Amino acid sequence: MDNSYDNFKYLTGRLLLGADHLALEPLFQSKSDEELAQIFRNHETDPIGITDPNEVSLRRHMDSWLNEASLIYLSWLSGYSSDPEGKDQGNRIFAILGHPSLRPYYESYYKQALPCLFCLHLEENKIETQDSPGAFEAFANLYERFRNDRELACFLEFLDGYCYGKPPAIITIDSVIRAFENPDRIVEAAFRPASQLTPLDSGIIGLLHFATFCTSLHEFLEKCKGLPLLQSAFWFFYAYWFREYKKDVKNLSIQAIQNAAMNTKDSGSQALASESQDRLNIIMSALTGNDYASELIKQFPATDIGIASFDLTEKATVKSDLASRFAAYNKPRTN
Amino acid sequence: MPIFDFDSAPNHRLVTQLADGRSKMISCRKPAKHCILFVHGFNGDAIDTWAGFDTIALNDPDLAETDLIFFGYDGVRSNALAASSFLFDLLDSAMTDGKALHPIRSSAPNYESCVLAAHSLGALVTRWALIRANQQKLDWLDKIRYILFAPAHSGGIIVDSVTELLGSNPISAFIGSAAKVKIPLLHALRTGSPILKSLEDHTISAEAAGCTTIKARRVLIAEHEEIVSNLPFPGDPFPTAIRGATHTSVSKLNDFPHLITYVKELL
Repeated sequence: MDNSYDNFKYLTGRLLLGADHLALEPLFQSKSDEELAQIFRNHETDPIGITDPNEVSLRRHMDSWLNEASLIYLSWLSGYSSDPEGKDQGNRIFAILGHPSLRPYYESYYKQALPCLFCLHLEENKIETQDSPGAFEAFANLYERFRNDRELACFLEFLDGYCYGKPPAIITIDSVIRAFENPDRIVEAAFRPASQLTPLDSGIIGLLHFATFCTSLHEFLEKCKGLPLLQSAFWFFYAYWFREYKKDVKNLSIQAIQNAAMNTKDSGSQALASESQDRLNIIMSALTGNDYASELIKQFPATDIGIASFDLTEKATVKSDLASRFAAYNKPRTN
Repeated sequence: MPIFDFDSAPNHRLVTQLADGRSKMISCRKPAKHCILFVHGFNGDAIDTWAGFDTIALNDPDLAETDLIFFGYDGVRSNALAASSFLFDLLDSAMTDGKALHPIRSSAPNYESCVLAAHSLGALVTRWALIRANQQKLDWLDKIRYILFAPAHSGGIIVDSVTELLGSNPISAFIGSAAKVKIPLLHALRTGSPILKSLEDHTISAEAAGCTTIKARRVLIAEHEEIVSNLPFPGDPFPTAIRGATHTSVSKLNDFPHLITYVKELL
């Protein structure tokens, strides 16, 4: 039985009736292009950053909305759901995704390939599909498992350069990794009551959750070996975590194990530390490397995409094709 | 043994988060006659605790008219009574007005039966919810079929076994072995603790008053159990052991495909 249209209606309904869309659609209908570009600006070029709670909330809604939209694109790519292009639901998605004030947000400032491809798709610039609806369902389960993990989100913020407190008591990603020198401290953080949780505790727990996520994602991607295009597209859903944050998460997570093993004396513990480190190295090398990226990049349409009609920093419109924008993903991470 | 199935679910839709932000639901395409409500344990995950019930079980034609709901709660930082209150709200709504299932189910599903499946600490969470439903004399209690996987209601969780509880990843594997610290939080669940004693007293008096739902229809235990006590709870049937299972694998259909028969026999 072909359930692709039923799946399409369910998935697009989930997006269009969801809290994120209900918060964003009126915004795109009522605000000027300049106002929207201001909300979805690059935080690094703003000397104050993003501090207005309303802006923070809208940007969180947008990040979550982009994830759901990317899922719809993956569902089409895997043959799980029918094509949204030309349908009313597709038009409503395009009204936000294709808005010139938003596009720089995912094309340039916080670079994500799947929203770019989905936008091109809705402009009738499509790539080949690779049918495996079951693989998509398994991916969606993985996404659901980790989507609302607060500690994982805290760890990702640390990775992106966030810090808590003031010098000399400042807590950064380096504090999180250093904490692993004392394994008892890690266990205490993992089981501390909610009222006593510190940002450092959250970062520590977040790293453990991140390691569990990476282990699950790597296992899943390896099962998708026979589906190279989908394997690559699924990896791209999370590529930002592995390629775009300031800190190299592979080096940091391996350093965490090395720190924990620092004071182990007996040969049994040292062997276990070495085994854990080797396993983590395999997982993180695969996820932060370039092997998973190449297959989807090969499929990128050659069409130029414009950046930043309302880019507050560059002013001028710059054009480049999608493949060159993600060219660095075809090489190992350099920092 | 199948550990991953690339066939698409013919009768069910995609897993979707419920309004409480932690629970997930896989709804069937047809109007649902039954539901299975899964409740994870300490440090468990709403879906991963039941790995396989979210994938390979969906190809079973006997579940074509069954919704699967995966209750989520903070097993580490919450407590059994608070979690049971959240579970009660979800269960009560699912069995009556269906509002907790919106917008996945736009009208009350009117389930004929609900299998309540609990793992580890989830046994305490579920039993407290059933005791409350019994005290409030709620009609839907008669539709509940109760099954337990490695329940922690007779003592546990053993505090030295942190490796298995920290999560399945290479860092936790090493930290769990290197750490020497005890976890005081779990002492509340030691054998004979006040919370377990109170649960036992409430269960015995509910059963004496004629409530049979509160009695598990089946209790599955792991052959290689290192986390909880396998002692039977008063009134529950003699447990069925799963050969080769550990505390965390005993609820996973991916590892033990025959678990599906124990769930289906209750529908």
